[in-house]
Amino acid sequence: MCPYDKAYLYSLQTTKKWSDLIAHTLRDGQYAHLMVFHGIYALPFAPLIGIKKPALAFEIGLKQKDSWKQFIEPIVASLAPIFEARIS
Amino acid sequence: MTHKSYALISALTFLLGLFTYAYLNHWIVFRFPSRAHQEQSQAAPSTSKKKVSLFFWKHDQWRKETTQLTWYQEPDKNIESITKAWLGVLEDEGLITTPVRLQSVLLAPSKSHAYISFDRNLLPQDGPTYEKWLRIEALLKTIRENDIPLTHIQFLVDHQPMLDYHLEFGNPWPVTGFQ
Repeated sequence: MCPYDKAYLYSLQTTKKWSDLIAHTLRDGQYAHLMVFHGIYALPFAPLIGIKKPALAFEIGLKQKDSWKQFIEPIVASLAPIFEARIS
Repeated sequence: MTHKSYALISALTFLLGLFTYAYLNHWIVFRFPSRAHQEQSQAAPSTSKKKVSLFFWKHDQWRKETTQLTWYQEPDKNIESITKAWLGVLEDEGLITTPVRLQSVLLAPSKSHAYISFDRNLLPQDGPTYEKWLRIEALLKTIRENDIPLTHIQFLVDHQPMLDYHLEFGNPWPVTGFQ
Protein backbone atom coordinates (compact mmCIF):
# COMPACT_ATOMS: atom_id res chain seq x y z
CA MET A 1 0.00 0.00 0.00
CA CYS A 2 1.24 3.48 -0.79
CA PRO A 3 -0.31 6.89 -1.49
CA TYR A 4 -1.87 7.26 -4.93
CA ASP A 5 0.60 9.95 -5.94
CA LYS A 6 3.59 7.81 -4.91
CA ALA A 7 2.64 4.75 -7.04
CA TYR A 8 5.40 5.57 -9.55
CA LEU A 9 7.99 4.64 -6.90
CA TYR A 10 7.14 0.92 -7.34
CA SER A 11 8.81 0.80 -10.76
CA LEU A 12 11.04 3.86 -10.62
CA GLN A 13 14.26 2.05 -11.51
CA THR A 14 12.68 0.19 -14.43
CA THR A 15 11.08 3.40 -15.68
CA LYS A 16 14.47 5.13 -15.59
CA LYS A 17 16.14 2.23 -17.42
CA TRP A 18 13.48 2.15 -20.12
CA SER A 19 13.51 5.92 -20.55
CA ASP A 20 17.29 5.80 -21.06
CA LEU A 21 16.87 3.15 -23.77
CA ILE A 22 14.18 5.22 -25.51
CA ALA A 23 16.25 8.42 -25.26
CA HIS A 24 19.29 6.67 -26.71
CA THR A 25 17.38 5.53 -29.80
CA LEU A 26 15.61 8.85 -30.39
CA ARG A 27 18.70 10.97 -29.79
CA ASP A 28 21.32 8.90 -31.55
CA GLY A 29 19.47 6.33 -33.64
CA GLN A 30 18.73 6.28 -37.34
CA TYR A 31 15.70 8.60 -36.91
CA ALA A 32 17.54 11.27 -34.93
CA HIS A 33 17.95 13.55 -37.95
CA LEU A 34 14.18 13.60 -38.54
CA MET A 35 13.28 15.33 -35.29
CA VAL A 36 14.54 17.48 -32.41
CA PHE A 37 14.58 15.37 -29.29
CA HIS A 38 14.09 17.54 -26.19
CA GLY A 39 14.90 14.89 -23.62
CA ILE A 40 13.36 12.79 -20.89
CA TYR A 41 11.71 14.59 -17.98
CA ALA A 42 10.47 13.31 -14.64
CA LEU A 43 7.43 15.44 -13.92
CA PRO A 44 4.21 15.01 -11.93
CA PHE A 45 2.37 14.17 -15.15
CA ALA A 46 -1.32 13.93 -14.32
CA PRO A 47 -2.38 11.19 -16.81
CA LEU A 48 0.26 8.78 -15.40
CA ILE A 49 -0.34 9.36 -11.70
CA GLY A 50 -1.46 6.25 -9.82
CA ILE A 51 0.17 3.76 -12.22
CA LYS A 52 2.44 1.27 -10.43
CA LYS A 53 3.93 -0.25 -13.61
CA PRO A 54 6.67 1.59 -15.53
CA ALA A 55 4.87 4.44 -17.32
CA LEU A 56 6.16 6.93 -19.85
CA ALA A 57 4.45 9.47 -22.08
CA PHE A 58 5.55 10.95 -25.39
CA GLU A 59 4.78 14.57 -26.18
CA ILE A 60 5.16 15.40 -29.84
CA GLY A 61 4.78 18.75 -31.52
CA LEU A 62 2.88 18.31 -34.80
CA LYS A 63 3.08 20.78 -37.64
CA GLN A 64 0.05 19.31 -39.40
CA LYS A 65 -2.88 17.39 -38.05
CA ASP A 66 -1.91 14.09 -39.70
CA SER A 67 1.86 14.37 -39.31
CA TRP A 68 1.69 12.03 -36.30
CA LYS A 69 2.06 9.14 -38.73
CA GLN A 70 5.71 9.94 -39.38
CA PHE A 71 6.48 9.44 -35.69
CA ILE A 72 5.14 5.89 -35.43
CA GLU A 73 8.23 4.25 -36.86
CA PRO A 74 10.74 6.11 -34.64
CA ILE A 75 8.66 5.39 -31.54
CA VAL A 76 8.38 1.70 -32.36
CA ALA A 77 12.13 1.63 -32.96
CA SER A 78 12.74 3.33 -29.60
CA LEU A 79 10.61 0.70 -27.81
CA ALA A 80 12.35 -2.23 -29.49
CA PRO A 81 15.40 -2.27 -27.14
CA ILE A 82 13.03 -2.57 -24.16
CA PHE A 83 11.39 -5.69 -25.58
CA GLU A 84 14.75 -7.11 -26.58
CA ALA A 85 16.06 -6.55 -23.04
CA ARG A 86 12.96 -8.25 -21.59
CA ILE A 87 13.28 -11.28 -23.87
CA SER A 88 17.00 -11.83 -23.47
CA MET B 1 13.03 82.41 59.44
CA THR B 2 9.33 82.25 60.00
CA HIS B 3 7.15 79.27 60.71
CA LYS B 4 5.71 79.69 57.26
CA SER B 5 9.12 79.23 55.67
CA TYR B 6 9.82 76.11 57.79
CA ALA B 7 6.48 74.66 56.72
CA LEU B 8 7.20 75.39 53.06
CA ILE B 9 10.71 73.87 53.18
CA SER B 10 9.34 70.82 55.01
CA ALA B 11 6.60 70.36 52.43
CA LEU B 12 9.04 70.70 49.54
CA THR B 13 11.53 68.30 51.11
CA PHE B 14 8.73 65.80 51.76
CA LEU B 15 7.58 66.03 48.16
CA LEU B 16 11.15 65.69 46.90
CA GLY B 17 11.66 62.62 49.09
CA LEU B 18 8.36 61.14 47.90
CA PHE B 19 9.30 61.80 44.30
CA THR B 20 12.77 60.26 44.73
CA TYR B 21 11.28 57.18 46.41
CA ALA B 22 8.76 56.81 43.59
CA TYR B 23 11.51 57.16 40.97
CA LEU B 24 13.81 54.63 42.64
CA ASN B 25 10.96 52.12 42.86
CA HIS B 26 10.12 52.67 39.18
CA TRP B 27 6.72 54.07 39.98
CA ILE B 28 7.81 56.95 37.84
CA VAL B 29 9.72 56.12 34.65
CA PHE B 30 11.41 58.70 32.49
CA ARG B 31 11.54 58.06 28.75
CA PHE B 32 13.74 60.62 27.15
CA PRO B 33 12.80 61.51 23.57
CA SER B 34 16.17 60.56 22.08
CA ARG B 35 16.15 57.08 23.71
CA ALA B 36 12.53 56.41 22.72
CA HIS B 37 13.31 57.34 19.13
CA GLN B 38 16.32 55.01 19.10
CA GLU B 39 14.22 52.09 20.37
CA GLN B 40 11.51 52.79 17.81
CA SER B 41 14.00 52.80 14.97
CA GLN B 42 15.42 49.48 16.19
CA ALA B 43 11.95 47.89 16.32
CA ALA B 44 10.90 49.14 12.89
CA PRO B 45 11.14 46.55 10.08
CA SER B 46 14.28 47.22 8.11
CA THR B 47 13.95 47.21 4.35
CA SER B 48 16.51 47.52 1.66
CA LYS B 49 16.74 47.60 -2.08
CA LYS B 50 17.72 44.43 -3.87
CA LYS B 51 18.50 43.73 -7.48
CA VAL B 52 16.55 40.61 -8.48
CA SER B 53 16.62 38.44 -11.59
CA LEU B 54 13.32 37.37 -13.14
CA PHE B 55 13.47 34.34 -15.44
CA PHE B 56 11.18 33.25 -18.24
CA TRP B 57 11.34 30.88 -21.19
CA LYS B 58 10.96 32.43 -24.61
CA HIS B 59 12.02 31.38 -28.11
CA ASP B 60 13.51 28.11 -26.82
CA GLN B 61 15.85 29.68 -24.31
CA TRP B 62 15.99 31.09 -20.81
CA ARG B 63 15.80 34.84 -20.64
CA LYS B 64 16.42 37.05 -17.68
CA GLU B 65 15.23 40.50 -16.71
CA THR B 66 16.80 42.37 -13.83
CA THR B 67 14.89 44.79 -11.66
CA GLN B 68 15.22 46.41 -8.25
CA LEU B 69 12.72 45.56 -5.53
CA THR B 70 12.18 46.56 -1.92
CA TRP B 71 13.56 43.69 0.14
CA TYR B 72 11.99 42.89 3.52
CA GLN B 73 13.07 40.83 6.47
CA GLU B 74 9.94 38.69 6.11
CA PRO B 75 10.38 36.08 3.32
CA ASP B 76 6.65 36.00 2.49
CA LYS B 77 6.73 39.70 1.56
CA ASN B 78 9.74 39.06 -0.67
CA ILE B 79 8.00 36.11 -2.36
CA GLU B 80 4.97 38.32 -2.92
CA SER B 81 6.88 41.19 -4.47
CA ILE B 82 9.09 38.95 -6.61
CA THR B 83 6.09 36.93 -7.88
CA LYS B 84 4.21 40.13 -8.75
CA ALA B 85 7.25 41.44 -10.61
CA TRP B 86 7.62 38.11 -12.42
CA LEU B 87 3.95 38.14 -13.49
CA GLY B 88 4.49 41.68 -14.76
CA VAL B 89 7.41 40.54 -16.90
CA LEU B 90 5.34 37.67 -18.35
CA GLU B 91 2.65 40.20 -19.29
CA ASP B 92 5.16 42.61 -20.81
CA GLU B 93 6.68 39.79 -22.86
CA GLY B 94 3.24 38.74 -24.11
CA LEU B 95 3.52 35.30 -22.53
CA ILE B 96 0.23 35.74 -20.69
CA THR B 97 -2.54 37.55 -22.51
CA THR B 98 -5.08 37.66 -19.67
CA PRO B 99 -3.56 39.28 -16.59
CA VAL B 100 -2.98 36.93 -13.66
CA ARG B 101 -3.08 38.47 -10.19
CA LEU B 102 -1.38 37.17 -7.10
CA GLN B 103 -3.95 36.71 -4.33
CA SER B 104 -1.80 35.74 -1.38
CA VAL B 105 1.43 34.22 -0.20
CA LEU B 106 1.41 32.24 3.02
CA LEU B 107 4.24 30.44 4.72
CA ALA B 108 3.89 27.17 6.61
CA PRO B 109 5.12 27.27 10.24
CA SER B 110 8.37 25.65 9.06
CA LYS B 111 8.92 28.74 6.81
CA SER B 112 10.25 26.42 4.12
CA HIS B 113 6.90 25.74 2.40
CA ALA B 114 4.97 28.53 0.70
CA TYR B 115 1.37 28.58 -0.50
CA ILE B 116 1.01 30.89 -3.48
CA SER B 117 -2.51 31.62 -4.67
CA PHE B 118 -3.37 33.26 -8.00
CA ASP B 119 -6.73 34.54 -9.21
CA ARG B 120 -6.53 32.34 -12.34
CA ASN B 121 -4.45 29.57 -13.87
CA LEU B 122 -1.16 31.03 -15.10
CA LEU B 123 -0.34 28.07 -17.40
CA PRO B 124 -0.82 28.29 -21.17
CA GLN B 125 -4.07 26.31 -21.36
CA ASP B 126 -3.68 25.28 -25.00
CA GLY B 127 0.06 24.79 -24.72
CA PRO B 128 2.03 21.56 -24.49
CA THR B 129 3.13 20.05 -21.18
CA TYR B 130 6.69 21.17 -21.91
CA GLU B 131 5.64 24.82 -22.10
CA LYS B 132 3.50 24.55 -18.96
CA TRP B 133 6.36 22.95 -17.04
CA LEU B 134 8.76 25.67 -18.17
CA ARG B 135 6.30 28.34 -16.98
CA ILE B 136 6.37 26.85 -13.47
CA GLU B 137 10.10 26.17 -13.68
CA ALA B 138 10.65 29.85 -14.53
CA LEU B 139 9.04 30.92 -11.25
CA LEU B 140 10.93 28.24 -9.29
CA LYS B 141 14.18 29.34 -10.93
CA THR B 142 13.39 32.97 -10.05
CA ILE B 143 12.75 32.00 -6.42
CA ARG B 144 15.90 29.92 -6.02
CA GLU B 145 18.26 32.20 -7.96
CA ASN B 146 17.29 35.08 -5.68
CA ASP B 147 18.17 33.10 -2.56
CA ILE B 148 14.70 32.90 -1.07
CA PRO B 149 14.93 30.19 1.59
CA LEU B 150 12.12 27.89 0.43
CA THR B 151 12.11 24.18 -0.26
CA HIS B 152 8.57 23.67 -1.62
CA ILE B 153 5.77 25.70 -3.17
CA GLN B 154 2.11 24.76 -3.33
CA PHE B 155 0.49 26.41 -6.33
CA LEU B 156 -3.12 27.45 -5.81
CA VAL B 157 -5.88 29.14 -7.76
CA ASP B 158 -8.49 30.83 -5.59
CA HIS B 159 -6.90 29.08 -2.61
CA GLN B 160 -7.53 25.61 -4.12
CA PRO B 161 -4.88 23.39 -5.77
CA MET B 162 -4.19 24.52 -9.33
CA LEU B 163 -5.89 22.19 -11.83
CA ASP B 164 -4.39 21.16 -15.15
CA TYR B 165 -4.92 18.27 -17.58
CA HIS B 166 -1.20 17.61 -17.83
CA LEU B 167 0.53 18.67 -14.66
CA GLU B 168 -0.44 17.66 -11.16
CA PHE B 169 -0.45 20.33 -8.44
CA GLY B 170 -2.04 18.33 -5.63
CA ASN B 171 1.33 18.28 -3.86
CA PRO B 172 3.85 21.07 -3.36
CA TRP B 173 6.53 21.39 -6.02
CA PRO B 174 10.17 21.35 -4.91
CA VAL B 175 11.90 24.68 -5.48
CA THR B 176 14.85 22.72 -6.89
CA GLY B 177 12.49 21.81 -9.73
CA PHE B 178 12.04 18.58 -11.67
CA GLN B 179 14.63 17.33 -14.12
